[in-house]
Amino acid sequence: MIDRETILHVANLARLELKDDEVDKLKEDLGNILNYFITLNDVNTDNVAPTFHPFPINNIFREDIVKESFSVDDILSNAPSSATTYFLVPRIVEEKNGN
Amino acid sequence: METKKFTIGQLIKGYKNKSVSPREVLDYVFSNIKLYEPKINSFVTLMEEYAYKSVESLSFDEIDSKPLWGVPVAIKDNMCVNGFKTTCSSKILEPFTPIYTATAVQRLIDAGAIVVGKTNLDEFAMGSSTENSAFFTTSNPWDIDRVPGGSSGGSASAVAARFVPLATGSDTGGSIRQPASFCGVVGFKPTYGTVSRYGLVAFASSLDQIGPFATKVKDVEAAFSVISGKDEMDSTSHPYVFSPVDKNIKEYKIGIVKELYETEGFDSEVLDSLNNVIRLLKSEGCKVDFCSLPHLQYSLPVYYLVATSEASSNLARFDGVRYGLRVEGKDIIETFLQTRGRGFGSEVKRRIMLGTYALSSGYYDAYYLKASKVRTLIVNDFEKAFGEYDCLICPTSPTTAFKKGDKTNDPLSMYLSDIATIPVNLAGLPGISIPVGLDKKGLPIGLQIIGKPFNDNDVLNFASKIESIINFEAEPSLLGGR
Repeated sequence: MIDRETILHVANLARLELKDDEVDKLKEDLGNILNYFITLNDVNTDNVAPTFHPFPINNIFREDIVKESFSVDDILSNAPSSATTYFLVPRIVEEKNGN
Repeated sequence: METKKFTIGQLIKGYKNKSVSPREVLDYVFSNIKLYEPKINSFVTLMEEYAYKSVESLSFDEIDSKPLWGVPVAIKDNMCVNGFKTTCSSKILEPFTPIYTATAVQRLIDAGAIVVGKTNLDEFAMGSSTENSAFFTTSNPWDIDRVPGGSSGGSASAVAARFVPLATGSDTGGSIRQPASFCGVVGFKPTYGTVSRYGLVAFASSLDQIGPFATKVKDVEAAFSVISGKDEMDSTSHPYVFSPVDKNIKEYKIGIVKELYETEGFDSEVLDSLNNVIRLLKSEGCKVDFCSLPHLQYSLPVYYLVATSEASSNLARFDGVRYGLRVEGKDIIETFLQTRGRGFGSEVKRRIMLGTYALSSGYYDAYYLKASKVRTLIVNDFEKAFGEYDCLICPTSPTTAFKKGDKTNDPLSMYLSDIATIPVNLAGLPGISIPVGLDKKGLPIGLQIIGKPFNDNDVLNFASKIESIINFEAEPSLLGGR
């Protein structure tokens, strides 16, 4: 019901590196689960509005007032890698033509 | 101290007449934990030093103004306590130490409660047995070969083992009520939005709700009255004000959910126990009738599509950049892939995959949108039922606690143990599980009571009345000999 290629595509969308045996297991598990979920097709939902939230909640606005927040040091205290006031990450943009 | 007296009400009474001090109670708590925790494994982190310091700052003058004065409490390890690890029982958050405290926890502390530790859970609260914890599996104090339920299995077992009289849990599809049922304690999931989720690590935002565990309904009520209410740090929190009601049980019209009674999969002993409750209610003069919620049979697929979709989005934040584990790759994408691939356990990956699939281009309409529409029909079924009944009752879980390892290889059978609790989250309703008896193996059976939105006080009152009729006093004998 769900093929290996789809599993790999979805894993990439979710940014999950999977081992080969994990791919096989997920293919089987997701196949079974989605197969069971097919019962939803028995329900007529014409003209039924979706529920995304149990109660109607609208956007809540507040005054745009600057308040005291966490210090940069505190925020960075959990970072795997940081320098001065920044989170450090591996290179994002590739170098081209020596630039 | 007798374990029967280890309730909030009894503790406060003891403090007031000075027959016991909060420090002595802490001595009792930690000596008990040291004795039995190696068997039960409720806690990921113990906060002994912090707890004794907190006790020192309690002033006896405040005993009347602080309803939880000197009450030890355990916190599920997906809620932040400033300066103490919050792991969500996941490798990806193992190194994380929050710099703030969750509002619900802060309110407990402000009311005089003493935090003694952080409890084990299924990784990111995804599971029904605590077997998905990346660290260890918690045992059920009634039979250590069995699971305590989940995902708040650490908190439920800690209360069942009488380590603490109060603990917090979070409930997305039954994660408070199902472990309460398995462990023979009271677990309350309040109406969606009544308790702030600031500082709770998000799983599925349209379903998540914080609530308390205790051994008595009055105790969960005391905790709920403290933690509920508007919080400006959580825009989904509701300006709810708790006020207790004291209504005679005769005034309640009770519906028994047919779809959670006549379905296969429910143990006969669990149904016998429900029948016994029905008989008792009738003899008390309560109106009891069967009612039908025809779309409830679709709750499981709806829940697993909605919850995993929301989870796949919420868990995108764990990328190895700002906090938690990082597995460094040659570039940022490889870092994301490896960090997440190694940091998350198999059930979390399964759910992220399912959710990502359900939301992905070409499948959104067929899965996520379809599920959200059927969710409306489930909400409507409840609305209709509540036009006629004050509360609905059903078993909390189809079975009593199962053995460790029994369901780990079959995700669908594991998901089915939440069949009776899941619909309540989909509709945002208040639900409570109270212990009503033991099966032949000596394992506790839970009864679930479901109420109208924001009628939490009604649910608690009704639960308290049933509790006093049934008078469940059993405790795990495994810990006997104290």
